[in-house]
Amino acid sequence: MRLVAGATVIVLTLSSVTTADDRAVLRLRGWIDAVDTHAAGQTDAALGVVTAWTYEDLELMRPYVEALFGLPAAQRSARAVRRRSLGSNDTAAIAVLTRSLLGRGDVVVFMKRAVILHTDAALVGGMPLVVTPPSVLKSDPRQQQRNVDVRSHDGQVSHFELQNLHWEYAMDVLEALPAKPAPDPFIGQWYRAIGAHFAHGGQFADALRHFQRARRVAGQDAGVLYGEACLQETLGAPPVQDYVRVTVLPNGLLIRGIESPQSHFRRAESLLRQALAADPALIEASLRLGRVLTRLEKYDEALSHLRTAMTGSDDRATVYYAHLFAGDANHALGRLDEARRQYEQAIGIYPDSQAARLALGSVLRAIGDRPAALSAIDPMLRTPARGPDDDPWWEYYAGDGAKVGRLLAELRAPFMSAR
Amino acid sequence: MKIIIAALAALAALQPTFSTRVDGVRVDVLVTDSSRRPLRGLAPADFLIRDNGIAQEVEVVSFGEISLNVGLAFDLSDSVAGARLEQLKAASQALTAELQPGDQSSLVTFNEVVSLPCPLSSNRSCVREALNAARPEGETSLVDGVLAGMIVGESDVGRSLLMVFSDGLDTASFLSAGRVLDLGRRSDVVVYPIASKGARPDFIEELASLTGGRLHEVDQRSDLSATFRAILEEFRYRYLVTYQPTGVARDGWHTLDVQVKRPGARVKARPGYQGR
Repeated sequence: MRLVAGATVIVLTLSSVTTADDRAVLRLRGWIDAVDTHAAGQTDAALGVVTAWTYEDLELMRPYVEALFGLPAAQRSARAVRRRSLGSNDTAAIAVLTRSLLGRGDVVVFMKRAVILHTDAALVGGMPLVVTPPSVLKSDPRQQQRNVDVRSHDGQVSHFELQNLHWEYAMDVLEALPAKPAPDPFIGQWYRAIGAHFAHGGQFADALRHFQRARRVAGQDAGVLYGEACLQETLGAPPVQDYVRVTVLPNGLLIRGIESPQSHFRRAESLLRQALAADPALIEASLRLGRVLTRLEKYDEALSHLRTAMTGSDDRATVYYAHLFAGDANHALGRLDEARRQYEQAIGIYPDSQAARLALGSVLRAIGDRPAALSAIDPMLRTPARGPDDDPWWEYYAGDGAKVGRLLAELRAPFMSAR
Repeated sequence: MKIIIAALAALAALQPTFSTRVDGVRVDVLVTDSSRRPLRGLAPADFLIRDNGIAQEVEVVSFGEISLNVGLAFDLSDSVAGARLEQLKAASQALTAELQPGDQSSLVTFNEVVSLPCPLSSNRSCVREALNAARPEGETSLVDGVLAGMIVGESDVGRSLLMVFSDGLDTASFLSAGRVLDLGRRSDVVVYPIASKGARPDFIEELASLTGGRLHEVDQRSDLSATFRAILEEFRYRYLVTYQPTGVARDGWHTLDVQVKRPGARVKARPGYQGR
């Protein structure tokens, strides 16, 4: 289980020179060929073209790709800085390539293929790069921005690494997909699948950037709203909060993007309400809303949503969670007998569940029945649960992460062969 | 803190009159002199206990006579691998060597999974064998592990100590810290956490305070064996003070004020208990 891995994003500004040259235009042509010939999910030669790019190559080529799709730079300061690195010859050469793409008649499919190429590069390629913890440099708008993420394992700093720019490429191209009359469904599908991937790996830094950009292009997609709500709930939870509280990073680096638990829970609440408004049948959102409202001490409303999850889902884990969290809400309300009943129902679904057995032991002890408390936890201590098959709790903070394989397969399915 | 319903078998052997009493409250009290050495030889008349502000008549005081239930709750997550595990093995061996006949020990281990390799018993080798077989890995369910350790360690016989070792943060528990603090208000178990300097959850110090224990912060250079022995020594030479609460409601939170009528005496006891 990887609950807490990369926890945060630290935005630094480092010195980097980006100069355009003729080789970049040639490389852009090679990139177009790679997009056309890559088979989704395969480590083919086309994928090798972009995974061979260095970090500097990726920085250098980004304005070329942005310009190829005519992404607006006026209101995006970082993009405007990148765009200024292009000379007039570059701009003219890119315009020729753009006209050529438009003339093919399948530019939307091409863009989706480009997204898939960089998604696969991010998933299987050589990025990201491990770096020594940099020193904080003063911000200079002329300098290229680089994001440095800190990764951790078991609550301790593991290493620092540069943000994987292939994700930025994919999101750049998604911005170029048609937004009217309605956003292309591929956009929401991609954001949900990759959000699940980040949740699965505890990549909170990537996930924060991911959902920040998702708001611009898929802000009404129930699945994307749900994915961000899961992230916000996780950021408010003790593992992340404790980590941020005690972790001291070297060289004056600061952890960014993590606020108080209440702030994250309130944001999660808002996102879940929006998700349910967009898709009232999204039972997982009802479940999570019940949990988040419990954390916000709105117990009665929490129980209402949890009941919806209990009765509206035939998914074993969802119903288990609903009973588990209903136990918590009742416990907080002082309704210990009802809390006990809910925990017992959760155990009925997952008999070896550590979470439900400990919660039951806790409530029995609070009732004053010490032998019963010991009996409640004894089976789990003697035959401990070994994984999510015994207790789904260990996957709870992964949100959609358990579905990542299916979501990625669905995303790639239309692009399994070269153009 | 719990209300005593049944007799304490071991104590009864020493204090036969106690076995006939019900609904008593017992408080584990550390009394030291100005040099932090245990102050010995105190009698019931030396103690002044106020339960919710009402002075109580102290009936029984014992010192160093009652057998101990030494519970261990050890973090065996990934962060403990290597030198830290070796220190933990050595410290546990040093600790069990100090146990006396009649003392019992238990071991709860946790990464994200909580397990009980050694139930409470007088088997001295179980802890050593379990730690020798341990392979630290995974995340840390500290709150879950502590709660399990407290429930396992409670006993009507003897005095219960829980030593919690963790060198990092909680990354995987289901239960909230509030749950284990609530148990701390109800339980007789005295909790002594041993945690890494700086990298510990807030609740662990509060739990120590609530139960009358004390937090020990260690680093890689600390002598863990000496820390373990010192905790056992301190715990063994505490007083167990009992009284029948009078003039106060049985239920609800009871604030305790424990004083010793000796000049320079320093007193450490739980700040209260949850009655029920």
